[in-house]
This record gives sequence, C-alpha cells and structure tokens, in this order.
Amino acid sequence: MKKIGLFICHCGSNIAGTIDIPEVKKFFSEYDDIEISDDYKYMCSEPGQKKLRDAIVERGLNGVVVACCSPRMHEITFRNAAVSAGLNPYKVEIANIREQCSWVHQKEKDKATKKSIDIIKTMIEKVKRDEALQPIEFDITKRALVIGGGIAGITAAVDIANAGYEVVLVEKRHSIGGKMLELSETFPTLDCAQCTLTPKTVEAGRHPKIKLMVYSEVEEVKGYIGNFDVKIRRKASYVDWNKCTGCGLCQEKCPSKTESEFDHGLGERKAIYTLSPQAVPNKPIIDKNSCRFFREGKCRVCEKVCPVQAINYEMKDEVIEEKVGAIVVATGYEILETEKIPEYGYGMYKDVIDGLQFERLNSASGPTAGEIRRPSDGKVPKEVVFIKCVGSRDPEKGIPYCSRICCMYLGKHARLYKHKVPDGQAYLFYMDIRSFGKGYEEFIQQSMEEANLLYIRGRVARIMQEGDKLVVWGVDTLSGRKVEIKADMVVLGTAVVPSKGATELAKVLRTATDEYGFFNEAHIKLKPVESMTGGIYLAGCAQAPKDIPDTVAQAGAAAAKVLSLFGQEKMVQEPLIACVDTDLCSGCGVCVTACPFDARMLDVDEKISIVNEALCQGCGACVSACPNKACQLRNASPKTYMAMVDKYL
Amino acid sequence: MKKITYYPGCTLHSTAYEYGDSTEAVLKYLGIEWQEIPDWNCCGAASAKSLNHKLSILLPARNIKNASTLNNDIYVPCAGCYNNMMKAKRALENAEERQNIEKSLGKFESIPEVYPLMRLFTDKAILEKLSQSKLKTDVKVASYYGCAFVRPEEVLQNENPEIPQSIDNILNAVGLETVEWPLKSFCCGGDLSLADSSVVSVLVEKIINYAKEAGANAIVTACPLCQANLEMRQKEPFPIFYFTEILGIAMGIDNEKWWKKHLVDPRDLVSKIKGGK
Repeated sequence: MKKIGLFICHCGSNIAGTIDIPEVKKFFSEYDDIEISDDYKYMCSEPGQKKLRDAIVERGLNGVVVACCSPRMHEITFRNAAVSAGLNPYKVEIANIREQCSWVHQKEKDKATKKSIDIIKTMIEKVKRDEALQPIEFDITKRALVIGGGIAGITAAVDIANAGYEVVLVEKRHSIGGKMLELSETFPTLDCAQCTLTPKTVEAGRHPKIKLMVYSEVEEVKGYIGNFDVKIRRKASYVDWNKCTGCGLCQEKCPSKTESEFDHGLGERKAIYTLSPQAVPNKPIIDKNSCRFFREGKCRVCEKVCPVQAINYEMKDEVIEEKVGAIVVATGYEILETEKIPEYGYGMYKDVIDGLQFERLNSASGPTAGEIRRPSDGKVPKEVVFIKCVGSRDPEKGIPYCSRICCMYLGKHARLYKHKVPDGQAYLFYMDIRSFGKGYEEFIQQSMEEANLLYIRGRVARIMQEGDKLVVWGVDTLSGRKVEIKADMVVLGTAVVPSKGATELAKVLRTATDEYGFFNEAHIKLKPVESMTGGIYLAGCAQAPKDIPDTVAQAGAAAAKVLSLFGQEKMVQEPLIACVDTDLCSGCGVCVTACPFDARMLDVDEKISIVNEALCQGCGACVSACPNKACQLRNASPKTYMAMVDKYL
Repeated sequence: MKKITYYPGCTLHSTAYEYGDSTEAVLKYLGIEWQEIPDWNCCGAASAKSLNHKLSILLPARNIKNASTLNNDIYVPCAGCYNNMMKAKRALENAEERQNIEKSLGKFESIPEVYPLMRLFTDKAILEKLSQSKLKTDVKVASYYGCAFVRPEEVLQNENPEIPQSIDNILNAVGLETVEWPLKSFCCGGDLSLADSSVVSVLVEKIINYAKEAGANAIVTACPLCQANLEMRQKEPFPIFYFTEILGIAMGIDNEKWWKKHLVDPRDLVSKIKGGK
C-alpha cells in the first residue's frame, strides 16, 4: 500500500497567481495512493519543510511529491528534509508546475490548472515505482595535479601543499614562473614583477609537498573525480639534473646562439640554456634544434666543460605515471601574433612590437638591460605609439571579446617609457578605457594628467614604414580629425588568446573549451573555477583573459575547491546512474562505444557489460543505444516512463 | 583548351581599350578560348548603387543569367564590374533575394562562378606557360590592386585585402620584379575623381610617392578606373600599366596602339622593359 504525500507550493503568486491551488489540492485529496494533499505559500521555507517532515513521521509516508519550481532549484532541499524525517531521499520527486506550467501559461489559467494536475499525476506514478537508493561512496586519492607553472599554477599548488596535501606541478617549459616572470613592472603599483613573483617560485621549488615536474607535459588522463590516473611525459633535457649544480659554465661556453623565446625574439640565447637568471629550477636543457652537436655531429663543448659530467646526449623522454584526486588547469595564455595583423604590417616592421616584447625591452634582465632601444637600429625612440584593442573586440578577426589587460598594461608601458625617456612622447590610441580593478582608474587618470601621456580616442587604420620612421594613420574620433604620426616605434596591445595546445589538453581531460579555446567553467557566475568535468578546476587565463590579481584570486579559489574535496572522508555520488539487467545483456558492447564518460566496459569472464559507478553521470546514452534494453537508468526505467505517459494520456 | 566566359564591361571596349585589346591578345597567345556574355549590359558601375539598390543588383544579375547559358566560369577584368557582379551573385545565393530577382528576370537555371581576370593567370598551368616568356630587365614595378578587387572581403572572398598577391605572382612569372610596398589596396579616390578632385590628388600623390620610394619605376594595375585616375591626377609623369600590357610585352605581342591610349607616355619605359637601357 502506497502512502504518498503531495505538497503544493504557491511560490507567492508565481504559481498561485495562475493555478487554482485549492482546486488542485481538492482533486488529489481523494486520489489513489495519496495519503495527504496539502499546500503552503513557500514550501521551501522552514515552516514548509516542517509540514513535509511532520507528515512523513505522523502519516508514515513512503513517497513524496512536491509540486513547485524546477528540481534544479529545490529538489535537494526537499530530499534533505525527507532524510531528516527518516525517508529515503530518492522517494521524493518534484512536479515542476512553475517553469513548465504557471510561468508559461499566465493567460490561460483554467488550462494551466488542468495541466498542473496532469504533471502531478505523472510524478505520482514515478514515486510509486521509485526504489530507495543509497548514494555511492568511494575513496579519494588526496593528491593534486596542477598543470601550468605560471602565477596561477604556483599559487594553487602552494595553497594546496600548505594544507598538507601532495601536489604534482607540471610545467611545459624548463622552469616555472610563466608569463609573469617575463614582465618588467606590473600595474597599478609599478612594482617589479620578478620581485613579487620569485618568492613564490622559490617556495614552490623548495616545498616538501610539491613535486615539480618541469619540461613535462600531461599526455593522458584516465579516471574520474577523486581518482585520476595521469601519464606525464618528461622531455629529454640532455642534462642530468641530479648531477647539475646550475653553475652556468656550459651556457657560457656554448658556441651556438639562437633567438631567445623568453625575450620574444629580441635577444639571443645559447643552445644549452636556462630560461632566466632567476630560473627555478636553475637547470639548463639542450635545445636540439640549435645545438651544434645535434645538428652537425660535433662540438661537445658543454660535455667537456661540465665539472660534474651532467651532460647526457643519449637521454630519452620519460613517461611518468601519477595518481591524483583533483586537477587544476592553469595553462595560461599567449598573445595574438603580430603576423596575423595585416594592417599593422604582418610583423614585417621590426619596430612594431607587441606588449610582451616591450616588457623585455624594459626589463633589467632583458636584451637591452632595461634601456628602451628599438629593435631595428638600437636608437632610443622619441615618438612611441601604443595601440589598444589590436585583434580584441574585433569580430572580423574572430576575437569579439575584450582581453581585459591591455588598457592597463599599455598605460603602464607608456608610463615606464616616460620614466626612462622623459623627453619622448607617448601616444595611446584607445576605443574606451577599461580600468575596472582596485586602483586602476586612479592609475589611468594619473597617467593622463601627470605623466603627460597623450590618449587619443580612435583606431589606427594602417602602419607603414617610411625611411626609418613608422607612419601611423589613425583617427581622433573626439575631434573628428585624421591623425598621422611619424613614430619611431609602435607597441601593439594584441589580443590574449589561449595557450597553444589548450584544446588538445581539454580533449585529454575530457572537458570543454569555448569557441575561442578557453576552458569552459561549469557556471559563469556560480561555478567560475569548476570545469565542466568533476574534479577538474580552472585557474587564471586558461579560463579567460584576466590580470594578475584576478588570476591569484581564482587560483586560490581553485585550491579551496580541491581542499574541500580532499576534506571529505569519501566521495559521494548520486546513485541515479545506469545499471545492467544481466539477464538481457548479450555483451555486444554498443554501450561501451556510446558512453561519453568511459564508464562502460565489458566483463570478459561474464560476457556482459558493466558500469563504472564512479564515472557514470546518468546521461542515458547507453540506455538508448542498447539493442536489448538491458541498460537502464535507476528510477527511470522505460516501464516507469510508460506508466507516467499512460497517466498523462 | 580552356574556355571562359568573358565580361569586358563598358570600359574595355572604350576608355580602357588598351586593357581590352591587350587582354584579348594575351588570351589568344595562350590559346584560351573566350566568349563574351551574350547581349551583356552595363554592370551599373558607381551610378546604379548610389541611386537604386534593386537596379544595382538586377543589372549584373542579368549578365549572370545570360552567361549561365554558356556553362563556363565568368572572368571579369574590371574591378568595379567584378565587385558589382559578386554582389549580385551573393544575392542570388540567398533564397529570398533570389526569388525577388527571379520575379524581375525570370528563373535562373544555374549560377556560374565569377572570378577577377587575374585569377585566370594565377592558375598553376598558366603561370608555368607565362614563365616561358621571360623579360630581361632591371625595371621594377609596384603592383596596385585598389579597393574593388579585394573589398568587402566577406562578399568577394577573393584574396587577402591587405596584402594581395595575384598581380605580383603574374608579373614575377614573366620575370618582372615587383616591389614590396604598403599601399597595394589603398583607395585611389576613383569615385570622387570628378566630384572632388582635391581629395583625389592627395590620395594619388601618396600612392605614387610610396611606389617611387619603394623603388618602382611604374605602377601596374588591373582596374581601369584606378589606371585613369592615377594617370590623370599625378604631378610628375609616372607610367601606369595594365598587367595584361606587361604580359603582352613579355610575349612580344605588344601594340603601339595601346601606348597611344595612355595619358602618360610609357614608351621609354616599355623599351627598357624590353631590355633596352
């Protein structure tokens, strides 16, 4: 004998304003299997929940239907209420009579009332067939993987490690610090980037709980939240880092030079090199493409000079396996290559540089030791044009979004330029100025009023080389005049784009990126650091362009999410997942290919398909694929649904 | 043998006679068979689009319809004609607009492809053929495309609007060096040539100065309006050629009649291109 309680919520006037609640209540008071039909102004309020709890205890209910808003809103509220009154939570169902009825039929009150009765009828059929289920529990591997060793990854790794959990920090380049280590000074305080960052890199490098894996890339990720199996490729560095003391003699003596990536092509580095003077770890690698030995078969200078015999030309890539429970993706960004900007010369003009190149020009560790000298002839530029929104906010270039950092960093660049070249003139072309952060607007105002930067509201149409000058054609939209500046150097605030390989990494992680290649958050407002996949969290520019303060904040939030996962005794998962009717399953394996979560596999001995309960998300893809109807979703069997439909018809 | 449908437009039979005649001479030399669109009309030029949008689509659409009976791709030498015809073609690709056009012109059986004349010569096989006629000269030219061959990009989908390359490739094939310069697709002011020549002289001066500075001895274009405008509004004599004239010189089939049509006498330079000092 079923004893089902029905509770109809008014939701203020959201439901009661359209649906005749006394009528619905009366209809179900005499209905089969309904023990009690009740209503309340706000069922989700504490008195409303008390009605439900009391009825379960006093009337001995074995099923509950709450007719209210969408189950996405309050299903969890009422299920928890039922648990506290001793009823299995999976015997509580929501009849959605708000989003799917009262809100959409506000002008047809009679019809809406009739429809709400139909909706409730179907859910009663479901509750009648619902089984009491227990949440699925499994163990958590309390170690984290952080992908990306920039400021975002370092922050997240240190925060997690400080809580006492082990962290594997994987970085593609051979030392950590990311883009921030390339910067000269940072806005809005104009403090030295290295000075603020290096304490962090040193901490990450020395932390007993952080396993630093530089010059490494994540190759394969299997498993699920709480239990991931990760394969990491450590690329051959050709230097035995256990022996290497970082003395730097090999770098000094190496005869091969090439363009420095760290200096964005403005300086040179050796074929055996560390990324920067403050590299963590301070160990070099040999770049095969520029090494004379690897190219021509002779040289071996580094081997000869190394006092500890650390050079090993035979070294091979290694694949290392790690088990972790959570992953933080902090893969950062690149900037749009100037080669993609035809109107500004396709990267053909040496003195048209991008924002990161300017950082290197201005950096004491950069190619000019911090003097502002233009790349073509080393002259100090007296007229410099800075252009914002290059590529960004330009749907025709496929980048409609705002890159968020350019307004501030170009203002900063211009300020720093004026510090070093006081008699120089800086022009800044802008669309609007987005100075949204703490202290940002004040910084920009100061730049305009005190630092004598010339802000011009308008776009630049073209840049052309004329002798040793760059002719910049633009427009000042405030005065409505064309502007022509004969500049010595132009700095482009090019768009922030996802780092190379982000989309491929997303595939490895089985999570989603947006149309531009940034990792998708689970909810843009309420779950900004969770990815679309359980156990994978996002930090920094991997998710969207952002500045350092926001990146650090998000990295901290991602770490907190990891810690709240690790704080649990066991992982708990909803039991509303697929199951297999072993009598019907023929072991054909269609479900294995249909499953998007790798949750289905064949039991070779029994010759049937089985479900990995931790991986299954209850999507139902296998249910519709199964030719024998052997796959079913718990509490959502075809029989139940047919009964629900029958009642409706 | 390749067969094409040819739309000369009004100018190639009149003001740009030398462009039309050199085009036909080169086609003949290369063994390319062409047929003019039967009973073709004016493309509407700049006049139709500034007065009546519907007319500006219907005029070139009629040409497309007449061409469709020939079952060959249409090649258009004039930038303005090409631009107008592409706008009509895009309209025909839209079901609703096509219905409206068909109300006026009757049903279209098929819609042929529309290409600028340069595209014919950048075909790999033809480029190879061209490279058999090599010029031996130290004359350098600046290739100039103007606006209408490349913009609007989303309508034409022709070549890169900032740094177009087709004329350069064609001229390089016959051994003529082209200079790198930034104003390849800069507007020459053509549409304002008569209405406000003061604007135009500024633009023309820029174009010619930049070409000279880049080391060019002449400009080579494919647009009759650009050619006339650049010659008419310049200050010191600087020859402006059609690319087909250069091909004619390379093949040894150039004609004195062509040079007489130029406002700036190019004959000294022609003899230099032919190898004279």
